[in-house]
Amino acid sequence: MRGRVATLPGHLGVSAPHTKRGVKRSVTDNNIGEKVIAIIMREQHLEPGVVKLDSSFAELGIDSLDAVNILFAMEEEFKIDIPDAIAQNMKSVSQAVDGLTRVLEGKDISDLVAMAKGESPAASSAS
Amino acid sequence: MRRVVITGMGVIASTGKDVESFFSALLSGRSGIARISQFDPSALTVQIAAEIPAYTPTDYFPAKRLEMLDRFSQFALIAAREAMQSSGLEVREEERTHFGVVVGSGMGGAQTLDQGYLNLYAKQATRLHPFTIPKVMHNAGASQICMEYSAQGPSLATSTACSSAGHAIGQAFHLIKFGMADMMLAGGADAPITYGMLRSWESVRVLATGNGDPRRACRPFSADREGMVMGEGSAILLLEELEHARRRGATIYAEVSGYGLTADASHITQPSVDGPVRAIRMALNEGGVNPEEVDYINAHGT
Repeated sequence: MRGRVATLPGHLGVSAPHTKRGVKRSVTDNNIGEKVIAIIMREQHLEPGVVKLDSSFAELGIDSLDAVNILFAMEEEFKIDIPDAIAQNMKSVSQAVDGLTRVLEGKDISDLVAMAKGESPAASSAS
Repeated sequence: MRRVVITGMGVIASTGKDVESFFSALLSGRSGIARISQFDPSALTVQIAAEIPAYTPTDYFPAKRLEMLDRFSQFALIAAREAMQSSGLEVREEERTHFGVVVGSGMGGAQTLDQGYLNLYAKQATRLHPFTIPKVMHNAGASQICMEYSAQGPSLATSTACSSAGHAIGQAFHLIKFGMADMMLAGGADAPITYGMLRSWESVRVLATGNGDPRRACRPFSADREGMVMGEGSAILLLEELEHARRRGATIYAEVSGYGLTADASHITQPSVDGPVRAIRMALNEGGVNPEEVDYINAHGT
């Protein structure tokens, strides 16, 4: 998953607009679930009603490249950077919604970081 | 020795979207060259190309599939489908590992790359679409055809400029002849009509401008020839081992009996005489054909 954000060589004189990312946004409308479903529907060209909160990516036919594409689309939509730890654990609609909510609300994601490293959450919190 | 025959044909080109219309355009001498429509060519010296007219990708592919297909792979699939259909071949499950694909491409996914670089450099995007690499790679066309037909035998892409498709057919011929496959879809596909590509070709100064009448721009061997014209499309043949074709009662269009390839190893754009001579002798020798038996020579007219 690393390397998904391209770094431009400095000599091009093009500064990547990273500054607009990472800005903490408060989530007041709280329709993240609906937005995520809409994004997945759009990117996967799926009919309305097919994508549900409890759908797994596998049953929607979403492979790893599709998942990266959906991740990019969510980052664009919400103007945020989604950490790799969340991206790697995003294998269902509910996981996507949960991960996104935690980023938007600035919540702790150390359990996901541990899972991404292959550790169990319990072992991580003990260390 | 195993013999190899052609039992299926498919094409999509500026002059026709299937073999029948393509061949009738050839017979009537109709040109497919016109002003470029895929982007505004006003800034270019060369504003003409042989584009597929009125091409609507969704007529051939669902929207989701299209996201994974550069234009050159779309053409490769369309031509392959016609070749398969015309051959009447139905590959049995146990034969899939002996069914392969070789698709030559000079430029591969040029449009995807051009658009990606435009986004990256001009529009200052910080990343490209995750499908960029699988769309751009030269073997994308071959791989997509393999997946469509569950062809699990040899899969290759040749990229040798204007010889890419010819070499693809030659390689497929040898793969069947030497027993690595019984059926091979082989040919070429390209879709290089992009602003970046046209600018690059313009600099080589080999393109005809077609000022006045684009339809007459490409006239190889004419005293007043102007140069070559960029085009797009695909042509795919089904090559089959002779006994395999006979067993299923296939229509046999031709036999491929010899193939030769060499390198001049001299100038990158200017051919020598020695290289082609050795390649032709190699092909004649393999086919057991005497030079005086040859009826037709398809010269590369640029």
